[in-house]
Amino acid sequence: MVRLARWFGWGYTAYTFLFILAPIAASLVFSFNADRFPALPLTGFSTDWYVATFSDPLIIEAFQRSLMVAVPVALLSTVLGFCAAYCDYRFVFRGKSLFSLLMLLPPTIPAVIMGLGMLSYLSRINLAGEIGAVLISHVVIALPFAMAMIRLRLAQMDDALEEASWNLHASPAQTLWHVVIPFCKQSLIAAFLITAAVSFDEFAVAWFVSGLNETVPVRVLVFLQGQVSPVINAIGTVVFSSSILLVALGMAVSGVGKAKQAGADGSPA
Amino acid sequence: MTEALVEIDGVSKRFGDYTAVTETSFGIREGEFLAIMGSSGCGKTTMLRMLAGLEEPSTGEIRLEGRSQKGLPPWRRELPLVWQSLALFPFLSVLDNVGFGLKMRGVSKPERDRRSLAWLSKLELGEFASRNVMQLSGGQRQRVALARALVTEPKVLLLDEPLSALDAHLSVRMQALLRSLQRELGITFVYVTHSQTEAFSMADRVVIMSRGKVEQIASPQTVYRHPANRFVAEFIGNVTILRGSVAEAGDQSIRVNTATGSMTVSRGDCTPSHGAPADFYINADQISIGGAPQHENHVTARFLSHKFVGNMVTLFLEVPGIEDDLKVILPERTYDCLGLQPGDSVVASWPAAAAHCFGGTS
Repeated sequence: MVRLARWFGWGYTAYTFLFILAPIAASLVFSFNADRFPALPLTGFSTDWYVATFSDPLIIEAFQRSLMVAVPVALLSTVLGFCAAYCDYRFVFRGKSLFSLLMLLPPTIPAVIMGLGMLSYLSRINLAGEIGAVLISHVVIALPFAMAMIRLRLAQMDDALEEASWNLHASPAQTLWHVVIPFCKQSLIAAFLITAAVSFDEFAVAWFVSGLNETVPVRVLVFLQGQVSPVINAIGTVVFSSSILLVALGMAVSGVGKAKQAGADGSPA
Repeated sequence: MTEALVEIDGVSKRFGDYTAVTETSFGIREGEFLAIMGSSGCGKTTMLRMLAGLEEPSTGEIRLEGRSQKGLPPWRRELPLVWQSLALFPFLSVLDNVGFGLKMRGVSKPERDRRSLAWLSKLELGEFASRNVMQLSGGQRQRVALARALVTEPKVLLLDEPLSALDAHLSVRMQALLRSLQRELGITFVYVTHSQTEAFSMADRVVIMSRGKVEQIASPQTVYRHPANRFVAEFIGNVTILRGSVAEAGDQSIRVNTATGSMTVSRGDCTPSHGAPADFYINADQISIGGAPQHENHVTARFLSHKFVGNMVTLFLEVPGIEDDLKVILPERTYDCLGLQPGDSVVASWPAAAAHCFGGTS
C-alpha cells in the first residue's frame, strides 16, 4: 500500500514535469528539424531556422533591445535590492513592515494589472513606449527577487561581524564596504544574473509599455500573430537556454545546493 | 588602591523595562587580569559591551585613562574585543583578518603585513598567514582572533568568553597562553566568563556579578576563602551556609545558636549584637571527619554521598535540623582511609577559624 502510494507520488511528479517541459522540449526538437511543419516523423537535422532567426533585422534588434534593458535592470535591481535588504537587516524604524511589504509586493500583482498600471502611469510622465519605460517596469518586477536573495544571505551573517569591524576602527560606511558587501558578494552576483533573466523573459508588462521598442518576448508574439514559422522554435530555444543559463549560474554562485560548504564556513545561521 | 586605568562610574544599563546593569562602579587597574564572572543574564556581557561602546550606558559613565568615553562610537575607541563567536571575517585570509584594524587606521599594506606577520609568528601561526580562516582549527582561529585584537597594541583587551567553545584540554592550554601573554605584554585584560576555573586560574582579581550588581571584587583567594555574602558563597559552592542567632559576642569570635547547637564562629568584619540573626559559612576543606570530635565545633551527621573532583572528594552529610547538606572536602587518600558507606554516622568538626560571619566585601 505504502509502495503503491510512493509510486503514485513519483508518477504524479514525473507527469507534472512532463507537462511543463514537453512543450519546451518539442520546441527544441523542432527548431532543428528540416521540415517547416512541426510534425512527426522528423525529416532531418537543420540549422536553417537559426540562420533565419539571426538574419531577421527585427529579431536582432529585439535581442539587442532586450540586452540593453536586461543589463541595466540587473544592475539597478541588485544595487537597490541590496540597499533594501540591508535596511531591513540593520535598522528598526516606524512602518518597517509596510516597507518590507511594499518591497515584496510586485510579484503578487497579476502581470496584466501591473502592465496596465505601468502603462497609465508612464504615459502620464510621457515615458510610455520608450525603452526607459521597459527598464523602469522591469526594475519594479525584478527588485523583490534581488532583495530576497540578498536578505537571505544577510540572515546568515553573524551579528558580531559588523560589531567586530566597528571595534577595529571601521566606520559604518567602511564596514559596509569592507565587510557586508564582501560577505554578500556571491548573492550579489547571483541576484544580478537572476534579475537579468527575469527581465529577459518578461513579456506581459513589456507588451504594455514597450510600444515600438519591442523586447524579444514581445517580438515573438507579434511574429506569431503574423505567421507560423519554425523560426519561433529557434527563438524560443535561444531565449530558454540563455535564461536557464543565467539562473543556473546564479544558483551556482549563490551556493544553493551546496549546503555542506555553507555549513563549513562557520558562520552561524 | 592604585590609580585606575578604566573607571566605571555609576553605570546602569536598561533595555526597556529590563535592567541589565544597576548603578555599578569599580576601577580596572593598569596591567591587571580582571575576570568578570557570573551566571548568564547577570550583566557581565552587557558590561563588556558598554566598555567597547557597543552599548551606551543609560546612566553614569566609563572613563579610559581619565577620558570620558560617553557618546564615543565603537570605531573611535581603543578597546578591542575578542568575541565568543570570534567574529573572524570568513572572506579574508588569516593575514588580512589580523591586518584589518591597521587597514582601517590607514596603515600602508607593507607595514600592516609586517606587523600582522610579527603577531602571527608570535602566536605560532606564521605558516598559516595566507590560508583562509575557515581552514583553521578552533584553537588556531582563537589565536587569529587574539592577534587581530592585539595588533594595534591596545592598553586594554576585552575578552567575551573566548574559550567556551573549546574542549577542556585546549581550553587549559589557551588559559596558560593568555596568562603568559598578559604578563609579558603588561596589557590589562578584562575577561568575561561564567567559568570559575577560568577566572580563578588566570585572574588577578575577580568581579562577581549577579542580576546586574557587583557582589564582590577581590582576588580569587579572597573570594574563595571569604565570600562577601550568601550569593557569592553559594556561587563558589565550597562552603555550607548555616543560620543562627548571636548568643554571645567576643572580640575575636562569637557564639551562635543554631538548630543543631551552639557554635563558635570567627567574627570577621561583622558587628554582631546579642540576639540578632547571624548567617555564617563553614569552609568545606577545613572540616575534619572522624569518630571523635577534633575541634571545638562538631556535629554528628549521616554520610549521604560523595563526588570526585580531581584528587579531592566532596562529601555530602545530612545534619539534623539543617536544611542544606554539610559539604566537606577531603583529599582522596584521607577519604579512602575512612572507608565510609552511605548511611554511616560520622562526626564532623571544625575550628572556629573555619567558620565566618558574612561581613565586608574584601
